This record gives sequence, C-alpha cells and structure tokens, in this order.
Amino acid sequence: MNQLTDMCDQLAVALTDDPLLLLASTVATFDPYWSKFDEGYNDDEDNPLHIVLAVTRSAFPDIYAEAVERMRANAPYQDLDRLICKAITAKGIPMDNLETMSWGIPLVSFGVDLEDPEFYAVHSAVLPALVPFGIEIPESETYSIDVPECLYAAGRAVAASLHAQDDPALKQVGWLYAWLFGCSGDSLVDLTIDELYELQPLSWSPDDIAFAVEMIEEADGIMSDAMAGLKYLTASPDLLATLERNIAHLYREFKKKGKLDDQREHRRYDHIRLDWSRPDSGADRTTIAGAEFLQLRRDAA
Amino acid sequence: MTVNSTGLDDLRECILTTAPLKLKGMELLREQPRLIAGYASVPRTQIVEAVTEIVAYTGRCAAAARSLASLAPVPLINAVVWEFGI
Repeated sequence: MNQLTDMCDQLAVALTDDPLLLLASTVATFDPYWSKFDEGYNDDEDNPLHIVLAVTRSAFPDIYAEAVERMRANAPYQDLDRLICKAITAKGIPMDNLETMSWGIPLVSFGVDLEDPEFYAVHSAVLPALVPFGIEIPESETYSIDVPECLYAAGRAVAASLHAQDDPALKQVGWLYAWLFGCSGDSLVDLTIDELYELQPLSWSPDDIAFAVEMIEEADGIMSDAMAGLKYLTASPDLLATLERNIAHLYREFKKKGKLDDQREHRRYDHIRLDWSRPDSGADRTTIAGAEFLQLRRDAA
Repeated sequence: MTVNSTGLDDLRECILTTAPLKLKGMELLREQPRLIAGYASVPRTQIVEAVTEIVAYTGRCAAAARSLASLAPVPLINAVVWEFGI
C-alpha cells in the first residue's frame, strides 16, 4: 500500500469515527443524488441521466445503487444506458433506450388496423386466418382496405365462441381472433400504436409500474397464444372449413337481423351459437406453446 | 398557571436523549471505511438494502425540512426559553 492510499484509508476511518460525519458519508456514498430530486423531477438538459436517476431512485433502488456504483467508477453513458435498460427490462418493462424514460413507462402495443394495407404486407402469415371472413386484398397498391363493420362483428363473435370452448387449442385460435379484432381486453393487444400514443402515458409510480408489468406480461401471453393458434389453424384444414361454415352462419344471422351500422351492435350477436365440432382428422390437437401463460393468466379456464 | 422555564441546555439534553440513528449504510461504512473511497467489496444485497433505507431516510428528512420551513408560529404560553426572552 502506498502512502497516498494509506492516507485515504486513514481519512475514511476518521470520517466513520464521528457520528455526524459518518451520517454525511453514508448519504454521500449510498444516495449522492438525494438533494437533486427534492422538488420532483427536473429534466436537466445538461445531464441526460438526471431523469433516469430520479426514476430509479424512487422506483428501483437496486438499479439506482448499481448505477451510482458505476458512475463512481466513471462508467461512460453508453455503459449506464445498457446496464439500466437491461435491469429495467429484467423487471418486466422492456427498454432499449434511456431517452424514452422521460415520457413515462414505455409501452409497445400489438393492435391491428385491418384497413391498413401495410399490416397485410408485414403480417402476410395471418391472411389465411382472415380470408374466410371475406377480406379482399387488392393486388394493386391501395391506401386503405375496405373492411365492412359486419366483419368485425363476426370476428368478435368467433373469438368469444372459441374462448368458450374446452379445447385449449381452440382457445388459442380464439386469442388469435381476439388480437385481430381488438377484443382481448388487454389494451396492449387491442390498441394500435397510434391509439396508444393518444392516451396519457403511465408514470413511474409504484402502482403504474405494477400495472404496466401485469399488462405487458398478459399481452405477451396473449400474443404467444395467438401465434400458436395461428400455427394450429393454418395446419388444420378441417378447422378452417369449420371456421368458414361458422362465419357463413354468422353472416346469414346478421342478414336476418338487419344491417350492422354500429360496431357496438356485435353484442347483439353474442348469443349466436357456433359449432366447432369437426371430423377427427388425426391432427395433434394439443396446445402448441405457451402453457405457462395459460396458467398465469387470470382468465384462463 | 404553571410556567415552565426551559433553557437551551435543557433542549439539548432533550434531543440527546433520543435514540441514536442506526442505518445499515452507517454500519457498512463502520465495518468497511474503504467503501467511502469506492473500493471495498460488499455483497450487492447489502448495498441495495443500505441504498433503499437511506433513500427513505433522506426522503423523510427532506419532508421534515419542508414542513419546518412552512411551520406557522406557535405561541408558547406555558413555557419560557430564557435565552429568547424579551
């Protein structure tokens, strides 16, 4: 040990001998930013980490502790960005950039706009699941797809009916249609990103964090089931045929009961019974994936 | 009417009778003073406990300071502090 480090150690020991200096040293060591956030958040433009430290200090003390430790070791901003994003992601809120933190809890939605042609370009795999409803994708470039209201009503009736089935694979197909027709009940699954941005962002308060984590976890579970349902549906020609039969039945019922101008009116058709029985094709009818999500989800059967 | 006379020494004595503050962070620094300079190794869980406690403590102190700053004057009818007597 050289003379300099020896002197540092002696000073440190001296600081811990006096109760007042010990308290001051404790605050300086473990909570060096204690006075910065006294009057609430203050987005200091000169220090991009200011809001991040304020949030982690109040919401995630363990991450704050690690960030402070790294800052004392002169870690560069990029390292802190990576460290904090990774730590918050591990707590159930996916983050890839600290700059988004000042806007509230970052949320990503999966909601579908069936009238947007780009959706079909990006998610071409879902087309076989939508074709039985009568959606027509023009071959030429177009700004909007014509989606009649009765199609939403049919989609929601199909989703509700599939959810009521005992077969877990059919429930997964039900989640597929709940996603496609925005009726899952989870905002992140039902709202498009534009609709989500119109809402007040969630703050970093403990209640909002807990709500966001639950919503994200549920949305991930629903999407996992929806994808498994899509895989199952497209691999089951007999189920597709049954689906077509049920949709035709729904459209006949809609026609009998009058024109659907109001999307909310789909509730009028909830009582229409759909028959999902089909000849046993020998296909594997077990759930494809996501058993853990079914167990976790509160509304799982 | 009984009038209590109190001096600064009495006030100091009163404050000194309060139990000494015990914070996990203070204990850690007492055990490992080199933590102050940032080069001692302590298990992460202990650091997190210390940080969580000190954040709550500094929050309480800040709230108390705010309350005291906006405290309305309290007329002392039954107590006389000689050092501040008119």
